[in-house]
Amino acid sequence: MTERSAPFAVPKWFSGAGPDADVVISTRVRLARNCARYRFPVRSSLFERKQVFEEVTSAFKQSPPYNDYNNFNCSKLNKIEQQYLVEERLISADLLTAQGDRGVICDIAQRICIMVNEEDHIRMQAMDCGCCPLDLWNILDGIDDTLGMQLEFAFENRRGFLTSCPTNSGTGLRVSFLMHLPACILTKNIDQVLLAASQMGVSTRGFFGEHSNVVGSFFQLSNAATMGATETEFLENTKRVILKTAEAERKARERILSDAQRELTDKIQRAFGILTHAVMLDVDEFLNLSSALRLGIECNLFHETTVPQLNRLTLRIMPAHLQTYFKKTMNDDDLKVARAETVKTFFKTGKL
Amino acid sequence: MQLCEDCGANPATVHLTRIVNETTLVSHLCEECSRKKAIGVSITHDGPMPEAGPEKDTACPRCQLKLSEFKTKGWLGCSECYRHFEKDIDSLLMQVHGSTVHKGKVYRHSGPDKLDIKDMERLKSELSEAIEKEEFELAALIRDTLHSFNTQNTGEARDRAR
Repeated sequence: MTERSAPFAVPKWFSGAGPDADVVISTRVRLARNCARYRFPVRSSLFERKQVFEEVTSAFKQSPPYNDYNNFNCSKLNKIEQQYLVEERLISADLLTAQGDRGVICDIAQRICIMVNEEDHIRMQAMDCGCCPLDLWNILDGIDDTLGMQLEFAFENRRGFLTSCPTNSGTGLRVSFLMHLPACILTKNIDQVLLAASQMGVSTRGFFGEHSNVVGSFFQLSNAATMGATETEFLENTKRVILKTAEAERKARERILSDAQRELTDKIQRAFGILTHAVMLDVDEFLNLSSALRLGIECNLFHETTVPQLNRLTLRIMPAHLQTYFKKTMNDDDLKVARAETVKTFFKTGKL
Repeated sequence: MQLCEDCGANPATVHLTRIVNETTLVSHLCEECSRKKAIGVSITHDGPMPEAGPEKDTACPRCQLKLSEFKTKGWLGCSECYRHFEKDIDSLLMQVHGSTVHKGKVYRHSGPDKLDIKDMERLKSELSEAIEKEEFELAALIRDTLHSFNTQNTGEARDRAR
């Protein structure tokens, strides 16, 4: 963990900038690949996992543009360090429950990371702020070519790249967008908007990805299928649906501003009141309340902070970030108190 | 794989998101229970697993994964599974993707390279180390890996000679 150059720097994907950033927080593109020579991680021996881990990391390090990447072997990190990487979205929670050598190779700005030995041998992903799927795909496509020359991927002409779960096979491509849709919820449009998206091949998940609940009006939207179209077609179709969804959210915000501005301001100020006076706060409550502030900033009704600052705070109050910052392990209640204290200080002094 | 919240027996393949008074409720159900409930809106759909029939429960020759295991867990053990369970996988692919044909990037591996030779050297030394320490299970695994290297390389050399 000491390899990290700037601890607590906000990753670029959460910087609050980028195209359509008023609704689309970030874009993530990922490719799933497996090495033909070994069984898939779920079925492989510790020895095979060690082989895969060594081969992938050395193949990556030998490729010239990528030799200054960090690499973390999860089996050598403690629980808080592992959780820290999950909160930064460098690894998935599933990677932590896996056995043996597994980990992530990532660049300093954390735009690109390659998970090794999760559900598939290789899960490479590129993340950035705002709506930018095609730029990210271009980066990943290049890395995929480089790695594919040095490693032998499991590939069939008819069914494409073979993955541990057939729901990912073919292109192995998943593009997902983290979206903030509070006005769609307030105007009770959300069911309709998400149903329309699902009918156009886009599925929805919660804030922390697969199997997570929806909190803070955050939704992750991604392509449902990965086979039967080209990568560009999947990216462009999903982007089209995302932009439509973003448009629906903007319309809903306008409607609230013209019909119920006083009620919205009341909601924002109440949320602010709780955040600045609570003695104990859990993550979900923070996310739900800060969602109102985020909407307030976007609608020009709340001026106590900015979106980039709120993002910094959002990451800082996550359990592993708090414990790393205070340099001690804490139980749930201690965490709630430390979280409330951090939020209070932030709004009083602007400091974290 | 997550299990159905209602019956707790089948894999949850239907994820229902409902919004009631600004609170979002997500339930993870299996096909059957979601049909029984028939409420709300189905937003994500992992695709149902093909149901286990009375047919013979075959195993993949490479990783020994049984067809019944694939049907309950939803994942495969190796690339060979795709060939061995072709019929079942294709019907699942059809349900999930609406297609069984890859139209994206075409991949061609350029054959054995320096990395492979270096790997073989490392493997050989790990093999002797394992034998020395009498870790025979590990030694057998390394031997199998070395063997697959060799057959693969001779196969490709033969292809090139043609």
